[in-house]
Amino acid sequence: MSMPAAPQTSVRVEYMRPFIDSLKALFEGHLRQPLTIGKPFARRDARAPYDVSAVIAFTGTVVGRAVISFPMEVAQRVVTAYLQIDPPPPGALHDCVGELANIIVGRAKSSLANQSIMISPPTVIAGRDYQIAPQRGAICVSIPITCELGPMQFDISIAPAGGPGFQERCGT
Amino acid sequence: MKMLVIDDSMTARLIVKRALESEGHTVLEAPDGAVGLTVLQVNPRIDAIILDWNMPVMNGFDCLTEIRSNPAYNGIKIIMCTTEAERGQVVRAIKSGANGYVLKPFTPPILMAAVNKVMGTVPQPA
Repeated sequence: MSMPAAPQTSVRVEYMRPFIDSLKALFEGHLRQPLTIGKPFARRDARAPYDVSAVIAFTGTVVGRAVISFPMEVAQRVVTAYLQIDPPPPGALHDCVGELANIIVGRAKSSLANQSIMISPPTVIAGRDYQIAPQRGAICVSIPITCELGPMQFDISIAPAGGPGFQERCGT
Repeated sequence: MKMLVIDDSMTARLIVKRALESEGHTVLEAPDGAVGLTVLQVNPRIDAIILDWNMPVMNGFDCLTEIRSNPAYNGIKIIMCTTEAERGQVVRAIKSGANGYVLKPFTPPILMAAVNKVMGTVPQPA
């Protein structure tokens, strides 16, 4: 008699590591901005932490959402650094934040080598007091990040497709 | 030379356009593959296309296939512009007629190296 699958009791490191590596590759490798990666924590509040967020959903053998959020002034600095145009042209901020999210998730996807994943085009949201729901059945792990341009936060909620939801535990 | 940049990201188009124009090229833009094909019909004397992979409406691979199915465009060089995620698809793109590729994020020198390699041109002295 087969035993039912036990629910996962932690966020799987192999899911999170590619995103952190990808963030580092973009900021440290391309933008020359050393990152300080804070301690991950499980987030219960769906309210976005900062003014500008880019959301990318992924589906396949794992499902989830990745969100990178910046205070508005930090988003402007990051976009200026990426484009090397100060000030960035009108309308560039939303597009560029989305493009950066696309690059981060795209690189991470390639590192999740044993997974078959499709990623959505990025959606960029700006404003105050808006909410971004995490992937159903997965906890949302938030990673606070800082660099010389200012603070940002990367949120990831990811789970095997059709698998049991993650129980809330963090600090992997 | 006349170049066409097909990318749904205004940011990506801006970076590519600036790099190409700084080398003296004329640059046309399109936000997806379908519009890119229309631009190509109106401007058939394009020398090269910088073609993004992941786009709405018509993605880069479908656009590449459409272009390569038309003998009138045989002389146009195509450089696929992808994130790391599509790297595994590059071989498929090359087999389908792409002449080269460049991975995002890239700097202008990296882009121009890919362009010069595909076009067989020598970089302009600074």
